[in-house]
Amino acid sequence: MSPLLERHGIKALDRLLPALALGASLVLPAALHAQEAPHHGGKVTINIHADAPNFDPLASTEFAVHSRLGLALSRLIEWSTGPEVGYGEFIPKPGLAKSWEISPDGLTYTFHLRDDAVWQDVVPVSGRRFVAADVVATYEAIREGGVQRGLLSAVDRIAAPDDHTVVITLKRPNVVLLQNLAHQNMWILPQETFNGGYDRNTTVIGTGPFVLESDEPGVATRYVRNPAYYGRSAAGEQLPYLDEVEILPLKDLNARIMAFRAGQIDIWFGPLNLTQMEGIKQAVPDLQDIQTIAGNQTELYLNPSFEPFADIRVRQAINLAIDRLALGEVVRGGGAIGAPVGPALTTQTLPEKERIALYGTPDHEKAKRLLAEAGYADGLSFEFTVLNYGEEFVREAEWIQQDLAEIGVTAQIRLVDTASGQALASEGNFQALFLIMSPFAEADEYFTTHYLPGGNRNYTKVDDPKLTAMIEAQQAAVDPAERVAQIHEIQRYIAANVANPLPVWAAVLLHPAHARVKGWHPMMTQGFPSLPEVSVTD
Amino acid sequence: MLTFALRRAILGLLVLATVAVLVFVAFRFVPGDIVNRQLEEAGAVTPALLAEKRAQLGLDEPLPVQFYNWISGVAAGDLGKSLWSGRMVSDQIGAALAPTLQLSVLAILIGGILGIGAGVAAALWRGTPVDMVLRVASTVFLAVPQLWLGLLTLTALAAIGYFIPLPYRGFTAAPLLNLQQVVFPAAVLALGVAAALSRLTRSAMLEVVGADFIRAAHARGVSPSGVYLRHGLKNALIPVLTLLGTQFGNLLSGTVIIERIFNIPGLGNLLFESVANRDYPVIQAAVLTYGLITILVNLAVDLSYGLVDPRIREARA
Repeated sequence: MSPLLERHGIKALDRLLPALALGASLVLPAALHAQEAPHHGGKVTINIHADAPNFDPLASTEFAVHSRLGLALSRLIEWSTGPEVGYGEFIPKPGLAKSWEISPDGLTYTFHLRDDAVWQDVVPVSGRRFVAADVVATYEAIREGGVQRGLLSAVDRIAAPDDHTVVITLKRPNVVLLQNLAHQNMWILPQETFNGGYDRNTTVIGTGPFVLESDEPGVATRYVRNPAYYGRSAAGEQLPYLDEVEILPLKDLNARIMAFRAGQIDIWFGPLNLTQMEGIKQAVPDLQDIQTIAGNQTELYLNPSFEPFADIRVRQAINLAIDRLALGEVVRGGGAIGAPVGPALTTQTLPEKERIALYGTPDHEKAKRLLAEAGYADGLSFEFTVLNYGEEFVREAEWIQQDLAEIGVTAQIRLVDTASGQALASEGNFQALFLIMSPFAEADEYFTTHYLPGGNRNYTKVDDPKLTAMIEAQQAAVDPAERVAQIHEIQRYIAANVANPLPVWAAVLLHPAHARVKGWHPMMTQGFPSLPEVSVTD
Repeated sequence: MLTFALRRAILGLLVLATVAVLVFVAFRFVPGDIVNRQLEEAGAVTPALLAEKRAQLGLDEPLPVQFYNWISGVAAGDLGKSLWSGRMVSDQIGAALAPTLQLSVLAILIGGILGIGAGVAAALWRGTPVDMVLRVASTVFLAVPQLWLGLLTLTALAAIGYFIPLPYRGFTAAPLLNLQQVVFPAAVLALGVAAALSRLTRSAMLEVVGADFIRAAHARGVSPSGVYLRHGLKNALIPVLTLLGTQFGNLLSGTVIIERIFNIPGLGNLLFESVANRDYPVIQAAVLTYGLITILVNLAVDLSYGLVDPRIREARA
C-alpha cells in the first residue's frame, strides 16, 4: 500500500469495494429490468433542483431550462438510448430528420425531414405540419443571436430546397456537426416565434413527446402526453407511454431525499453522494440503483501569469503530487480518473491504463526534483481559488492541498461562490483555480474550449500553434478510427507539453429511480431523451 | 398620534432609501454577474458574445446610470424585469410575498402564544420545576439554529412515516393541504420567537407583579387571574411588543433558509436564488420588500404602545 494511502487511512479492500459496487450496480439494473411489456398511462415525477428562469432556448445554456424543454421539443438528430447505450455514448438517431447524407468532401450535409411531425396544438402554431423552413429559421436565429451559436460556427449556408429537405453547407469539414445538431441546446422551434408570433420566454410549442401544461416557479412544471407525437417504440407502439410528467423544483438536498423516500419523486436528477444513497436504499430497498461516471470532471487550472506556474516543470510537479486514485476512492467513493477529455466519453478519453500512467501515479521524489530544477527547491506558496460546488468538491480541494504540502507546496484555499468563481476564471484573476467542468459530450468541445486561443474555458491562455493545428485536423478526420487516434494523440501532447489544466477526477453519478419506473436510461445530455419510452407499472 | 405616525413613516422612507443604495452598491462589487450564470454550461462562448449579452441587459452602463435607471423606475412604481427570467419583478415579488407573509404571521402567532404563555407561567410558578423546565427550554431553543431544527423536523417526520405533501399549494387553492405544508416550518420559526418572548415576558411579569398597583388590585379583591392577566400582563406587554417587532425582522431572515428546506416558494427562496444568479433587480426589490415589511411592523408596534398604555397615548397626543 502506498504511503499516501496509509496516510489517508485506506485499506486495500476499501479501495476495491467501490469499484465492485459500481460494477455490480451497472450490471444488476439491466438484469432486473428484463421487462414486462410497457403500457400506456400513468405519471412520473422528477426533481430538478432549480426553476426554469424562462423557456427561451436561445437565451441561456441553463440546465434547468433545457432539461425541461427536452420534454416538449425535438432536435434534428437525437441521442440513442437504452440499456445497451452507455451514459456518455453518442449514437445518432433520427429525430426530426429521418435520414441524412454527407457529401464525399465532407462539406455538404443533406437532411431528409420526417413528414409525420406536427407542432403541438398551441396558438398561434396550432398543430400545423413541421417543415424545413422551421429548421432554417431556428438555425439562422441561433447563428444570429443564440448563446449556442458556436455550435454552428463551421456552417456557411443553410437552405431548404423543399418542405422536407434541409441542406447545410460547411466552410470547412467538421465531423462533429451531427453531434452539434444533437447538442442539448439545439432544439427546433416553429418559425412563428422568430416573426413575433409568440413569446418563447413563456410559451413552449414543440414537436416533442409532451405538451407543457403549466409552470409555476418554485412549485411544479407539469406536462401532459402529446397525442400527435411522431415517436414510435421498437415494437411500433405510439410514444410516449406516460400520460403526465411533473417536475418538482426542490432546491434543498435533504428535502429532495425525503421526497424520494416518500415516493413523491420517482426519478432522481442532480447531486447525490454514496452515503446519501445508502440512506435512501435503506428506506427504499427496491429502488433502481443506476450509477454512471459523471460527464463532468474536476480540473485544476494553474495560471502561468503567476510566475512559478509559467514553468511547465512546476505544473508537472503538482501533477505528480496528487494521488487521484486515493482521492477518488476516499472523497468520492468511486468514479474515474480524469484526462484532457473526460472519462465519461469512453471512446474518446485515453484508455484507463494510460490515464493512470499520466495522472494517477504520484511520485513525490520526482516532483521535488522538478521543483528544484525550476528553482523552487524550498517549495512555493499560492492562493488556491476553489469554487463552492459543495462539500465533497471542497474536500477534493483539501485533499489536493494536503498532497501538495508533501512536496513543500503551500496552497491557501480561498472559497468563492460559483458565479464569483466563473468571473474570476474568465478574467484570469487567480493563481490556481479548482472547478468542475461542464459535462461536454464531445472531445472537440473539450479541445476548442480549453486549448484554442479565445476558447471559453481557456482560462490559462493556452496558445500553442501545434496543438491548434492538431485540434483542427481532428475536426476534419472523416474516418472514425483515425479520428479517435488523433484525439488520443492530442491528449498525450497536452499531458506532455501543456499540463494545464490538470484533470483530476470524474465522480460516480447516481440516478436512483423507483422500481415502478420502467425503461428509464439516464444520458449525458439534457432533456431526458429516454422519457418517451418510460412507463410505470401501476 | 398622526404626527408621530407621519414622523416615523418619513424616517422609514429614509431607511429604505439607505437600504436601496447599500444593496445596489454592495452587489455590484461582488464578482460575477448574470451573464456568467446564463452561459455557465456553454462550451462555445466568445468574449464578444459575453459583451453583447451584458450590453443587452444594460450591465455595461456606468454604475451611476444603472442606479438612476433603477431608482427612477422604483419611484415610478416599476421594479423592472428580472435579468434571469425576463418576468416583471413586481409579479415575482407579489407571488412570493404571500407564502412568506403567511409563514411569518403563522410563526409569530404560534411563537407569541407559546412564548407569552410560557413566560407568564414561568413567572407565576417562579422557582418551581415548571419554571426551571421552561427556562431551560427557552435557552435551548434560543441556541439551536433554525437550519438544524428544520432538518431535524423533516427527519423526525420521516422517521414516523409522515412526509409533508408536495408540491406547494396556496391557501386559497387548497387550504387544508397548504396548512399541512406550512405548519411545520412555521413551528420551526416559532420556537425561536417563543423562546425569546418567554424569557422577556417572565422577567417583565416578575417586575410588574411586585408593583404597588398589583398589591392594590389584590387588596380590592380582584381574582388572581384578573390581577395577573388584566393588570399584570397588560403592563408587562410594552417590552414584549418591542421584542415581537424585532423578532418579526429576525423571523423574516429565517425564512430564507426555512423556505428552501420546506419547499415554500416564498420571498426567502426568491432572494436566495437571485443572489446566486446575480439577478440584481430581484435582489434589490426583495431586500427593499424585506426592509419595507420590517419598517411597517415596527411602525405598527410603535403605534400599538399607545393602545396598550394610555400614558403613552396621552404623551403623544
